[in-house]
Amino acid sequence: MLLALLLPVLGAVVFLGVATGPASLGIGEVGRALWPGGGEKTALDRTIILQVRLPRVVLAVLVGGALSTAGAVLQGLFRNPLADPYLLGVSSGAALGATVAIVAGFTWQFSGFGAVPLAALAGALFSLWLVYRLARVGGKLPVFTLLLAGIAVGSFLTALVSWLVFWGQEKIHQAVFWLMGGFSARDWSDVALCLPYVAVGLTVCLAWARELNLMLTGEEAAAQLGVNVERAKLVLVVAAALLTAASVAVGGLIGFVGLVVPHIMRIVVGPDHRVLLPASALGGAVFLAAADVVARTVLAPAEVPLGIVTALTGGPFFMYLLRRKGGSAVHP
Amino acid sequence: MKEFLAVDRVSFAYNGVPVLRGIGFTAARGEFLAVAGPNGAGKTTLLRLLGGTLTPLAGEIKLAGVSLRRLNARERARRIGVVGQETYLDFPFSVGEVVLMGRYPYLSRFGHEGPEDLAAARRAMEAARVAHLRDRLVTTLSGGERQRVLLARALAQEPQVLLLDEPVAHLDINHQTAIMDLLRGLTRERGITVVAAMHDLNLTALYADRVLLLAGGTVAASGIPEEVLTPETVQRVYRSEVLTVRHPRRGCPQIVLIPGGNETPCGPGH
Repeated sequence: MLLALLLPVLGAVVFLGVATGPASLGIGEVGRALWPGGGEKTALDRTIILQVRLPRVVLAVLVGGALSTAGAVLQGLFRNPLADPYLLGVSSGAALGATVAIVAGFTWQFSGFGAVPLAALAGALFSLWLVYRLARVGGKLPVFTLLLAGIAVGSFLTALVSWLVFWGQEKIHQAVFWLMGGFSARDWSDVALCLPYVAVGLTVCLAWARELNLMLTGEEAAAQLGVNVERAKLVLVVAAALLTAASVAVGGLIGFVGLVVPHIMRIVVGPDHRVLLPASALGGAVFLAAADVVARTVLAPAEVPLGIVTALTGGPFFMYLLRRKGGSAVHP
Repeated sequence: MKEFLAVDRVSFAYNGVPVLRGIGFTAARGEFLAVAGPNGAGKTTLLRLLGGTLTPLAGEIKLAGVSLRRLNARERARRIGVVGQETYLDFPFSVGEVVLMGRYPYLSRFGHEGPEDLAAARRAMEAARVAHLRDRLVTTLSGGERQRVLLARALAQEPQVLLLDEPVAHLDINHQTAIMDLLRGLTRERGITVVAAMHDLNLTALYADRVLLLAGGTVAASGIPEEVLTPETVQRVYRSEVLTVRHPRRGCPQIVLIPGGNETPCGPGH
C-alpha cells in the first residue's frame, strides 16, 4: 500500500531534482531535452540533465535507499531502534580513506573512478574486516561485542581523521566539506562505483528479511524455529556494512537518514521486515533526493553540505517523534 | 515406540565448567515428562540440548532413532518445538504473524506462506486457544495469553516433541492449570511428547507421566511421580524439609512445605 504510494512520490522528487538548479527547467523543457533531436538549446539542456543533474539525483536515490535499509537491518539485528549504519565503524574507515586521499592530494584515477571514493571504499572495507575480527568470539558474532568493536574501531579511526584534517592545513576546507556529506561535483563514475554494492546489498537484505523478523523475538528463539542464526547475522551485517561503505564512499557522512527513515517507516508499516525494508529503501531515497534539492537551492548559488540539511530537518522531526505519545514511538 | 526420545550418557560444559554429567533417560510418544530440580541443576541446559541449539560434549540424543547431530536446523525445527524463557515479544507484530513464524522451517527462501501454512497456523491457534486474539498486537497481551501464543507458534511447527522451559512461571493459578491441561491434552490427543522443566512439584505430580529429578548436573531420581516425589528424595535433592499428603481427589502426592523457626499453627493470634 505505502510502497505503491512512495513510488510516484519518488518519481516526482527525481523530476524535481532534475528540473531544479541554476537553470530552472519546466516539465516541457525536460521532456524535450530527453527526446531525440532538437536545437542547440535542447542539446545544452540535455547535457545539464544527463551529465550534471541526473547522476546527482540518482546518487542521492541510491545512497538514501542504501543508508535507510542498512539502518533498518541494524535496528532489527540489535533489537534497538536507535541503531544506525554508522555504529559499525565502517563509515569512519571510509572517512579515513577519503581524508587521506584529500590531504595527500591524490588525483589519480583507476578505470574511471576517482581517488577519493576509491580510497573511502578501501578504508570502509578495511574497517569492516577489523571490526569483524575483533567482534568474533569462538566462531560466533555476538551483537553486543559487534557493537563494542564497531564503536571502538569507529572512535579510533575518527580520531585519526581529525588528526589528519588538523594537520592537512590548506586542505582543511575540502576535507571538512567532504566529511559533512553531499553530492556536489559527482558524476556517473560515482554512480557506477556504488551501484553494484547497493544492488547486491539491497537484494541480500530483502532475501534475509524473514530471518530478521524471527530474530526480533530473540536469537535463541529464532534458532529453535530453524534459523541458522550465526550465518544470518553474518550475511546481514556484511550486507548492511557494504551498503554503508558504498554510500559513504560516494556521499560522505550523511547523518540521520539511516536512523530516522527506518524509524518512521516502522511506525507506519509495522515491524515486518519484508515490508519495512523496501519501505525504508524507498523512503530513504525520497528523503535524500528531496534533501539534496534543498541543499543546492536554499542558499544558491552556494551549496549547503547535505549532511547539515538532513540533520537540521531530521533532528527536530526525531525530537517530535520522541515526545509524541510520551516517547512510545521510539520504543519498539 | 517406547524410546521415541532417547538420551544416552549426555554431558555438557560451559567454558570448561561441567553443567550436565552422564544424563540418560527415554521418553515415549505422547508422554508427559517433567524435568525438576533445584535452581542451577541443569534443567534449561538439558532443554537446549534436546532442542538442538546446544550440542552435547559427549553422549547422544536420538529422536525416532536419528541422532540430533544429523539433522540441520530446519529439519530439527520440523520435529521439535520449543517454548523457551528468552523469547521477546516487544515488537508490535500481530498474534497471527508471530504464530505464522512457526512455519519458517517449511518455507523456501523466496517462498510465501501457502494455504497449508495458514491452515497449520490456524489449527495451532485453535489448539492453544488464541484464535480470538489473531489480530491483537503481541505487545498488548497478558502473561497467560503471551505464553499461549508462544505455544501456538511452536505448534505451528507441527512438532513431534514439545520442549517447554517453566511454562507456567509467573502465571496465576487459573492460567497455570489452563496451560497444563492444554499440554496434557496435546500428549493424549496428538501423541506429542512433552518435556517440560518444572519448578512447581505439585503441578508436576498432577500432570506428569514421569519425573526426571536433576541435582548438580546428574539424574538424582527418575520415574513416576509416586516414586520420585517422596519426602526423602525431595529433602535430599532440594535440602528443604517437606511432607507429602495425598491429593483429595486424584490421590497423587502433593508436597507440603514446612517453614523454619516455629511450630505455631497457621492463622491469626500468634
